[in-house]
Amino acid sequence: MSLDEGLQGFLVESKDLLDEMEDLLLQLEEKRGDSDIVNALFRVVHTLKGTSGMFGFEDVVTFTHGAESVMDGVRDGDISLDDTLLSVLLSSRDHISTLLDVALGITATISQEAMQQGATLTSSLLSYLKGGSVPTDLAVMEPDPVVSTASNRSTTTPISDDQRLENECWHISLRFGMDVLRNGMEPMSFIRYLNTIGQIVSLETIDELLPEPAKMDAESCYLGFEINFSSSADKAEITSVFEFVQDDCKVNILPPHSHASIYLQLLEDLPEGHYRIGEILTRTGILTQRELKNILAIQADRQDDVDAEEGPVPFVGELAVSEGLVEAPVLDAAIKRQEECKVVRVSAEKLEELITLVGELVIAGANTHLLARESEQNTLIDATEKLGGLVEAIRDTSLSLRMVQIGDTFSRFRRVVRENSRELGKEIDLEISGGETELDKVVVDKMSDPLMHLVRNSIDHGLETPEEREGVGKPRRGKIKLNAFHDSGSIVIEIVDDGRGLSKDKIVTKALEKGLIKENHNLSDEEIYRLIFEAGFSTAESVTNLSGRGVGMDVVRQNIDSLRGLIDINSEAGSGTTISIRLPLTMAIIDGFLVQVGKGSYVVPLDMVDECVEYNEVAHEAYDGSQHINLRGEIMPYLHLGDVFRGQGEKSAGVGGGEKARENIVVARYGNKKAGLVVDELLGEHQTVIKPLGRIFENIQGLSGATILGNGEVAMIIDVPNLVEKLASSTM
Amino acid sequence: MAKTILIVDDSSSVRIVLATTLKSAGYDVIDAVDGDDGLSKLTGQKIHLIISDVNMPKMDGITMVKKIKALPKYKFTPICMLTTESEESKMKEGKMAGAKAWIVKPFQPAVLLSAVEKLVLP
Amino acid sequence: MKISKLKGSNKKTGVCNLAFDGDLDIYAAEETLNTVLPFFDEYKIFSVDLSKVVEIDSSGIQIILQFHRQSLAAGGRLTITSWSPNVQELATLYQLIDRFDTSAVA
Repeated sequence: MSLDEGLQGFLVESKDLLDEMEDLLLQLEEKRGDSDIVNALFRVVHTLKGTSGMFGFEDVVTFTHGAESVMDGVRDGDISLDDTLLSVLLSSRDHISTLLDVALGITATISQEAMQQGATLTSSLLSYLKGGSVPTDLAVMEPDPVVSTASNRSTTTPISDDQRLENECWHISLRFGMDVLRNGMEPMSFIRYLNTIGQIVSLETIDELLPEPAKMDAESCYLGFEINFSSSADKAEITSVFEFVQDDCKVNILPPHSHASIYLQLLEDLPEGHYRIGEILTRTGILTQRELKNILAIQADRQDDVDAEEGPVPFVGELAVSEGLVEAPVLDAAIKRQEECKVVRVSAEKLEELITLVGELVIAGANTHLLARESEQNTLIDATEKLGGLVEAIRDTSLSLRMVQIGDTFSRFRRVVRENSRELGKEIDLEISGGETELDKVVVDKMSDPLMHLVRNSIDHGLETPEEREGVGKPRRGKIKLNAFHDSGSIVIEIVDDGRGLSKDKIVTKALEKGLIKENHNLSDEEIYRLIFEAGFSTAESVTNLSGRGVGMDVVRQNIDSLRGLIDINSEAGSGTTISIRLPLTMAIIDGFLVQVGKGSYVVPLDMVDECVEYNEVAHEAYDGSQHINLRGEIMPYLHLGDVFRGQGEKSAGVGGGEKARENIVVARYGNKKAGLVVDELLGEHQTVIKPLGRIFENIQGLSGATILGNGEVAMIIDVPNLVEKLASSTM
Repeated sequence: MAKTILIVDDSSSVRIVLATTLKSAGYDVIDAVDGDDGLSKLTGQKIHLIISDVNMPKMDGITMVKKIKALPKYKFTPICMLTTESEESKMKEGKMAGAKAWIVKPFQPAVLLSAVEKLVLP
Repeated sequence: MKISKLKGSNKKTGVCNLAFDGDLDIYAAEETLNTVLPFFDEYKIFSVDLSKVVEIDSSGIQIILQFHRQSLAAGGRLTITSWSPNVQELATLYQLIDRFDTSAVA
């Protein structure tokens, strides 16, 4: 791994850690004494410090160390976690983020202000430390090695249960050679020295190789050590501790979170046999039960492959578990960490490239299939069909790579709610559900800002103050719910509050004032609510810090529009507002339904197609002058796609013409609205790679993109949400 | 009880740097100007580490190491050679003779101490 | 290194009470091992006083580990009745305190 790659990894990892830190701090606010959360928080801070140290970001290390020490005190019960400390830690988290940005070159320099804040935070953190005991590893951080050595020497390293389960350690495995003692190299010196660059969390002396007394050479060394070592030192530094015995000692240094297979490799390399070492590794907390099982699985696989004839070898894990050497309750956090280790991080750019290529592959595949069909060679057609199936599978898999859970985005709002509600003197609970719902990362990223605006809007305008709420008989604490779920090919994100609801009168008054509507408007409730998304609209009676600046809500709508999304508002005066945002699952490739109108081909997204019926079969009498069809008793508006996208002169063949072309109606649905689209011909399903429309087409209503067909022709993608909405509102 | 280190080097400035650094870290220091002198300082007292230059008049470091390895009272004493980058073959020779540790000259005091502390803590 | 067999040692009961005096380091290792070698055949319940041990290193701890190993193998035990600061420090570093029976250490 090059340093650059390491930095890239660190960039992502540190961001995750900062998010986790924030999340844990906010959880702590509700569950003040929860030792699991405190432990997790300590680990996060510790890891942040450790990894920053690995890259030599001294500023980050120095600052983070203060926070770590305080967390250590909290963990030991020496420091009590009060509101002030929580706020200090939250601000510290932000400051670490600032420092990291500077360290990683994201921002060029640190501002005077930030420096000031850092100093203030450090002194607040220190003030907590003065009361409690200073953790032992403070000494390790001293720059002067002489001092650290002196202070470490007399300190033994107690193993607390916490540390045993902490899966953040280096693992050092040592087998000293026979001659080291004769060469004047003393194992205990090296091991002691380790304590000057970190902390030995646990150590097991291995004496399995000690021979029978009569065969023992008293001047030979038979010792080995398995060491669980917590340190911010990098591998090179740890390796250098043993440089003088490099010829004389088997040294294995496994970084924190090493993969199970590396441990298996270690077990196989060691001379004492699997069982004993497996037992030691689990007992000292180096391996968790789960990790052991992983190793067991790998080992079992290899066993099957290699020596089916030999009798069963006692597996490390089985023995350790069956003999009760491993306790069942292994920290969930440790397991979670382990699972995270199996995740490979890929840059979004590479993924984007892959998806683009898959898009091209889909088009090329369709073209091949088309040519095969034209050639009428059955074997070739079969082959291209098989190929098509595989391409489809690749498409789905690669798109799923870009799917992420929305939960992380949701969790970020905990802090927004916490801080903003405080500022406004409101009491608000945030409820999150459906966080596991997955959607395209591109969509998630673009939704982050709009959601922020909407949540802030709820906090600011939607929810009342505790006094107001009590006055109208509501519980003091207001509630904001974030919810996400899948619904017929879309994802729906809901922001629900139980506040005062939207005031139609106020909106109308404001809209009149701003000239957005006319006096004699005839707008439905929903249309009135929708006005809040118009540019320059704001109903806040007082402009607060948060929202009410008249910008934002229209930007929300623009963002959601650009994602081909749809906003739905429901509100009841006095009891709250629900904003639903309906979004497509993915942005890149869709299953389309290809239709022909005149000479042009169009694609209707398949998941929005309800059914297709023959145009002549359904009544299409316009009973009030507008165009409606009656589909088994269901009345819905319809339009001729030809009228929308063709020049006026080029009249569609079916309507009122003498020729009886067999036109079809595609019944498209979006949300709870349906509309019929009259087309000339149904061409069938088509995998559609969405290409953005060029500038020329940007302003054409009703089209959301273009795609290239197998034969190289361009087909337009119908913007069903837009058309359905327009039809529904103009005719209802 | 402070640990005792014998330093052997013909350059007085190197001896001064070594002695000052080591003393400030809490070691007791005995010094010698060449291999011959070094051996003569081994008079029965406990020596925890020997740091020696390679090229010295009268008796060079490697010869001294070989002789120390034959002294019952000192044969297991860790020995650290002071070498320069260009003396790799000498370093190998020293290792063969039994001096397993080394410090490359010129060195920073911190580097010296980190090497020494791996072998014997003050 | 002087090793004295103390009162109470008895081949019939397998009890062996020893006191170590001096350096338990590599310079003394060979001699020490040779001295204690016969004990492993004759005794199995060892009580060892290490309070007068001045220097101890890995070679010395290997001999203590050998006492531990041999006593267990013979169905006996190793008790450390007392130890010097240097021994305690090394046993702590090697995390052997729980392995040996040190409950008798004040």
